[in-house]
Amino acid sequence: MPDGYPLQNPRVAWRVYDGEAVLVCPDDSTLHALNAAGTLIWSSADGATPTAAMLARLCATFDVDRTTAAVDAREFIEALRARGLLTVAPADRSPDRWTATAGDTAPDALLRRPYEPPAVVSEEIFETTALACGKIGGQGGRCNTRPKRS
Amino acid sequence: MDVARARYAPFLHEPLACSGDWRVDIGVHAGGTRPLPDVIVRRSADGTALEAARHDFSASLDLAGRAARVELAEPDDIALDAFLRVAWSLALLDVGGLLIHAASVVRAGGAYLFVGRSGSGKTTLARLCTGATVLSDELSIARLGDGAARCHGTPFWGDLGGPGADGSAPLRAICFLEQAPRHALEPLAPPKALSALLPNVVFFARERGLTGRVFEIAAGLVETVPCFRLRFTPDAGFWEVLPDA
Repeated sequence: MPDGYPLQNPRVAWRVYDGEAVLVCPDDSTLHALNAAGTLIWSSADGATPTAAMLARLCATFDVDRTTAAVDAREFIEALRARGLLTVAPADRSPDRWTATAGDTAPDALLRRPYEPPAVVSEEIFETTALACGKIGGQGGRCNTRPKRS
Repeated sequence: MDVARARYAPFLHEPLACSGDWRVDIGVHAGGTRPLPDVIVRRSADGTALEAARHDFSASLDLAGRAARVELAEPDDIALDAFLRVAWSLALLDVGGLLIHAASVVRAGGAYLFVGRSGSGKTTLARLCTGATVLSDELSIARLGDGAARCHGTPFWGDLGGPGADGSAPLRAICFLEQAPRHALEPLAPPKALSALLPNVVFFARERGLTGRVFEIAAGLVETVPCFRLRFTPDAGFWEVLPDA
């Protein structure tokens, strides 16, 4: 998983409810539900925010150490990338890193929310089989010889 | 046409002189059925229309012009019915509507949408609705406009064996069906309701603009209408747990 600048796939439609995003990708008609940490990363994937800044936001928002968050965020971004939900531009515009630097300070842990690793749950959507041959009356059993999904 | 007239009789009206009417030209395809396993909906090569096809029909739809041309493999009600379901799934978007795999029933002035896949109990539940008006036991329309949601019947039915009423009512609740030993109602927050609703939206196109529109309408519905997980056993007692029923 390259460090860099994640960018949302512009074809994806999405909304955030109570800090958790729901995404729909038209390419494969799949719905993706993100948890709070995942939503933070997704919402930051504007192509201009480096992965390091995302990591800093993650650690500032949730009660997680930077090493753990870095591993989790890498896996999460890779998962979104594999699903075609975002791309990651190389980190050639500015120094970028997944590790802590002198400029990153840990916020007060008491102000941070409990941490669950960023996660995405995906499922196919849309009913494409409700063209029920067998449920149409008066057809004289034609569906038996013309099988259709129902 | 006689077959179609008989099948859709409760939903036939005199032509209305309003801009909302669609014109559909129907012909018979000389080549017969084709080996297509599923419905295909895609943008035409020149981008001006949508092409829809199944083994027993092929069609071109101009959503903006509200016009369609369909060629049926056989002049039968099955092919025509399949085309109409596909066409409605597309045409409804323009008026803020979705075709949903759901039974719908009007009771006490409000409509209840009972959403579920085949076998979830939609028809069973519709049969239990004595004293209420069944709009459909299979496919229903939920439509969002001016911040309010409305439910409409369709001429598409399931195991009930006939159409429901050609009517509509304010949509009071969206209930996702789950058969259980006893009746229980669990409120669903919008994200969970959206995740439950979208798999039951009848839709075939794979295009960003149209899919995005479906998403927006579905999101608007679950944000506007109270949504529930309805666990029910097959008796009419389920009404007692529904709101305002």
